[in-house]
Amino acid sequence: MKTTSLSLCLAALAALTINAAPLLYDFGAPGTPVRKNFTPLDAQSKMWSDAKKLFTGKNKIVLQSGLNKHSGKSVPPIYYNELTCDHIGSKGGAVLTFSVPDGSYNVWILTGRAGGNRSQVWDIKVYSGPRSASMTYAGPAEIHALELKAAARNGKLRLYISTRSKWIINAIAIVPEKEYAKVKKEILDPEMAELATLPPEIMKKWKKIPFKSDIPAPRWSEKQKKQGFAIFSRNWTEPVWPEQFPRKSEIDHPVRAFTTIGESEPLTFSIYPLKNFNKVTLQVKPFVNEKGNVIGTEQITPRYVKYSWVRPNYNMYGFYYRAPEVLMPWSDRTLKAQEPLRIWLAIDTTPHTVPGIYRSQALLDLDGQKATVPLTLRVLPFRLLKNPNVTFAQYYHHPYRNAAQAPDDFSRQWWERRAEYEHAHMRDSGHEGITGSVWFTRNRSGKLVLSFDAMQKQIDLMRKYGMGHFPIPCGLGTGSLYAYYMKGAIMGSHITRVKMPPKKFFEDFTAIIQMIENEARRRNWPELLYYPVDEPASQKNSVDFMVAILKAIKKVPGVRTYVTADPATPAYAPMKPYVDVWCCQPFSIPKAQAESDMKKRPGLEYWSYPNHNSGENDHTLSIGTRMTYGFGLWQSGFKVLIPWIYSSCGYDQWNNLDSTSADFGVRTAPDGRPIPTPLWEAYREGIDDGKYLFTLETYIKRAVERGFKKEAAAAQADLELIKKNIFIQPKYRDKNLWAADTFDAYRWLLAENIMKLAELLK
Amino acid sequence: MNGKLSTALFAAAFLSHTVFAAERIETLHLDAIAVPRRWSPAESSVTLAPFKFSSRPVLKWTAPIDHFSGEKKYPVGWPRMYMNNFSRTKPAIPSDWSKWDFFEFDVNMCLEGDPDNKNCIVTFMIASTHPRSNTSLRKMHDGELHSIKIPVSQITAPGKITSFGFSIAESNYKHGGKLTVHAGNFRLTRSSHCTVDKATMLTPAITAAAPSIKLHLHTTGPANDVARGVPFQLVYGKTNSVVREETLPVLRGSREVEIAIDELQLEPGNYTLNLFPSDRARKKSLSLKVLSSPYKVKK
Repeated sequence: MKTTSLSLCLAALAALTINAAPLLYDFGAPGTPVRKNFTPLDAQSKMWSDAKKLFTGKNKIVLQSGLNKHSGKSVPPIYYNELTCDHIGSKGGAVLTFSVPDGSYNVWILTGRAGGNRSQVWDIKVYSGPRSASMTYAGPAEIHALELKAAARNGKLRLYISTRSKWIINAIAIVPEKEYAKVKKEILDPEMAELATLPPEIMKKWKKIPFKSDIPAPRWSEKQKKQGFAIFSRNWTEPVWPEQFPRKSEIDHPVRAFTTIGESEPLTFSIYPLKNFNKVTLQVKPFVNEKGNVIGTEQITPRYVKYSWVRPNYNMYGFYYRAPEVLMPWSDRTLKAQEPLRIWLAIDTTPHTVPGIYRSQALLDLDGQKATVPLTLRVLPFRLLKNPNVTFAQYYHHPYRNAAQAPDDFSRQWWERRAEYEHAHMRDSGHEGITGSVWFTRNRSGKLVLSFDAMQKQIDLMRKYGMGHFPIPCGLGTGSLYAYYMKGAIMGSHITRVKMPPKKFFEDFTAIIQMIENEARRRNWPELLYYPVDEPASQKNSVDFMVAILKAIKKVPGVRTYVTADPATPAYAPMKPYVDVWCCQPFSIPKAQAESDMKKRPGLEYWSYPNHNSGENDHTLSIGTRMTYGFGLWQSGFKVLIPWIYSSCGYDQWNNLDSTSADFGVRTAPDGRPIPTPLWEAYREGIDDGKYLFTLETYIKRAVERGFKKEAAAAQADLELIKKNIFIQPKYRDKNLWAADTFDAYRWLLAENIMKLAELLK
Repeated sequence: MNGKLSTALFAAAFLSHTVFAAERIETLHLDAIAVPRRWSPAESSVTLAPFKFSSRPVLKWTAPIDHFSGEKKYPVGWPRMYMNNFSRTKPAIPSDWSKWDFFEFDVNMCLEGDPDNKNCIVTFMIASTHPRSNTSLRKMHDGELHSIKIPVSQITAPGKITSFGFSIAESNYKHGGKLTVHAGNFRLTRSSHCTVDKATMLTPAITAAAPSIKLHLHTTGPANDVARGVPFQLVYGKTNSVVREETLPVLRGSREVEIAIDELQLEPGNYTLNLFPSDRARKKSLSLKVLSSPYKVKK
């Protein structure tokens, strides 16, 4: 805010003058820029009362990117504008009083992008009379707008602000209710649109990739034209794009799915609006079967698919497009003409759900127009079995690291609670493990510092959520020890700059691994897979270093090593004798070779990180992700899928364009709960496909053992048919795959066989 | 013959009871690609081979595998060669390929010092606008002659071809080896008839409740003939009866095609979808399995 005596007078005048016009305040420090249309307001204003130690924060508006010396990559700054570059905040309560004519108002409050500590969790609740609006968010970059209805009495409108940790406000708009729609459209929404992308000066350099669709405009019925919308249903693995028509066959297509006992299944349908709607509400009725059994609403999670501006690749800068990306918890929606809205219901059956055909209805209200969407869910009479020889895990940024650095109790507890929610989410989605790390370094006096207790806390949490058996790829402080022995030198991205350290480095490394291993056994930890370097480059100096460090690890009896590299690359051949677990892109080795190699050398395993399915690049490859996790993995010979990463968010988790790498993976709700993506659901459904396959394979074995050879052979023939029809590929994306419905048809073929054999084996 | 259109006549192997005109393959030879001076090699060299493929000139591209002589940014090594801006030099190579079906050439390779390499991949790049169209020539270092056929429909912007390139990543090869690639008989081809070059059933299994079946077709031939469509019939295996017979509207190139079947109420069982059912030369058959509906419980 730029302070002049004139602006101070104007601010004071604005505070004291009765004014029915919208009041727009830009909060912050004196002397900093003020946004057009806004009036400055600082912590000294008389509008504040009962305020507990207000503070003012400010950040520089910088548009130039910096340089990451380690990776050599350009790093954009957190982009601030006049509204966000400064703020007023407090650790306690405060009251703001606006002098305005009596009447009803809409209040818009901008909060966030404070900069500073990544582990700070911000929390704000604003009351006006009985109404309130609140938000909780983490880190330096997120930005949110709160909206609140308020009333002015006796010429005053008061806002009571409270927090459980720390709050900040960047800006406030007090707008008479009748004018709010106009002010929102003309001023506030454009502000938010800018904050959700990049500053205009940067944005104009980016290129929008146009969307192409080969689906022609349907011929709308008179009813659809009259009501202004159509309902359509598309298989959940196919994205519904923001600029795409429904296919003729999808309009009014039944919304139905089948599931088993104790499974989660998506049911989705979409609204195609032919005009704008201000408010769309949704109510989903309980599912009831032919015998009156009920799947209650507590087992139904309604969500909608949020469109985001995304990049074609997580590290590609300068290109963007709009894609369906996150499954947001349902809230009333507005609809823009010609932009479809996909509604995504997750239906959970329990171990006690009675089989049968359940029916329900989704009741929609679009600006007063009612629509009923019939829903059908068949619950099959069996439970799926999990193949114990394959495992699903995740690379993971552990929230405990943030908890350890949290500046206050609320923040620390929020991160800890988030870790619990995320572990439960992974477990419920069929995941059995995460990566971990034991960091170590020698300080200047040569004393060794190891992070055993931090790892212990992580393992305790893993065990609590049933992940205690997974061998943990354990990151190590290799770079830190290297710097100690190499006079502060860095190894460079993918150890491209590494030079061979002295013999003592490797002797020390062996000793440290022995210490970690001793401690791991003493604490009864799961097996640690020693993971000294991530994705080493294939150049000679990198490979030579890898061979030496792997040898150093293998000097400790009984330990296994973990390397993220493609074993098919000849340059890595010297490392082969010392690598126990290869983790690479899928599925770089043919099934027969993978199985034969693992058979020949006990302890050798092939794992894969299918990052092309995690959202690292395209956020919409649900069909390829389902294939990778289910039928694809079945025919791969690989043992573990462990994509990078459960959640990757750079600056603002709701702004895909703002940091070096685009955001992808699971997002976080204000209470710390995970918000999944369609790709996450594709992991889960792919895992379920694998369970259908394994369940049938198990029933076939049992049938053979019980003498039902003919029936077992018939079921086996169907398995062979599926196998024959898979278009085997190293990477499953969205091309050269079965159509979406065929996944469900094959799942049904498996289910029919399972039910037939189960009946025989009763 | 450079730049001149020649025509090869292929008689259909069989003629069914319906009389069809014989299919002709039109060919535009692009010998101008096989001119070494037009290529810019790095970490490798290019010459004219002393022999020809089908009487057409052949490039010889040689890449010694040296893991220590790469550039700073790619230290292991990235042998490559490109041909850019070819439309400005003579003899010209057309930049608009959109009316052709395939870009084809023949290649043979040998890899000295690393004959068992399982990761021998040579990338052939055709650039128009972003992104480039890459074709991986995998494990072709057996000394045999391989025919490469790239559908023009798979090239990003076939109306504006600007450059070609060959490259390898040396990390895929053993240090000290040598890769030699012979490539020639570069040409554009197209069929005189609408032909389904490749057909894939994307719905090899469906439930009886499914509204449609989906295919992926790669259709070649002149636009006028393609516009007539592809006749097809769906045959129920149990009775060998035709349950649907009509013409499928298609477009040139690779497309996903949907056939609505919701009104057919197909019985569960095995079906065959025949494309060009009456023309043995062009006929293609695909299998389809129809399952019972999960939403109708047998009582």
